[in-house]
Amino acid sequence: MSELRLMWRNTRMVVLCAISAALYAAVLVPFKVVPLIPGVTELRPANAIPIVCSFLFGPARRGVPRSAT
Amino acid sequence: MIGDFFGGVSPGDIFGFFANLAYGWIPYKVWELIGRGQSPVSRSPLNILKYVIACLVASVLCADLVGWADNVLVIRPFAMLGNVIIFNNMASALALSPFILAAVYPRVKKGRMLYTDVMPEVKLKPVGIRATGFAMLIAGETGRLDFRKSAFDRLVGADVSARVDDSRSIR
Repeated sequence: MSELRLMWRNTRMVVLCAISAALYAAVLVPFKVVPLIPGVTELRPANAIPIVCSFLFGPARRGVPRSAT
Repeated sequence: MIGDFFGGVSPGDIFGFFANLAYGWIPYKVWELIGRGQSPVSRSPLNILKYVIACLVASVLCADLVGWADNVLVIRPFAMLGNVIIFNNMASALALSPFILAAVYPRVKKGRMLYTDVMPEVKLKPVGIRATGFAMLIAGETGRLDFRKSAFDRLVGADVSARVDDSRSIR
């Protein structure tokens, strides 16, 4: 858990966090128009990004969270 | 949160924030424990199984947090949302992530941009502590399965009883 706090002292981790979030949003937003269950969730290929970034960048994977995943 | 601004913001998004934080946090923590220093792009059957476990644990935790919160806030029923989120997360994690990882991981590793290279000061806790945490996580998620089943039964039961009431009123 401490790495979640420590990462903000590391410039490269902050940059990687921002890039991860931007990438997630860039993939997420276009697919908002493709609902799987209307009103609940939509097709979400963007959900692949957190897994990838988690294995690559660890605590920098903050992504762009949202409720109905 | 950015995604929510394009689709509608609700109180459940606060819990969604933490749920998705866990969705990104759990895989590498689990991999640190069960991966034993191996690359996640290794194609051995055992490593594939470990990868699936890491993704499944993260997906279930994310689904449980969001589903529970939306159920408590009476936005959407847990039985439906919990399962949909697991399916949605696992579909992406199994259909897309392995290919992206296979393409990107070796290059990131070569460029010394993995988090272990960027943050060498972060030390791993003893295996016993991490294993205990993992066991607690699994136990919690397994316990939630029972809650998910009972919530589903309530949902279906309510639906059936509503139909019975409707048919009686028609008669």
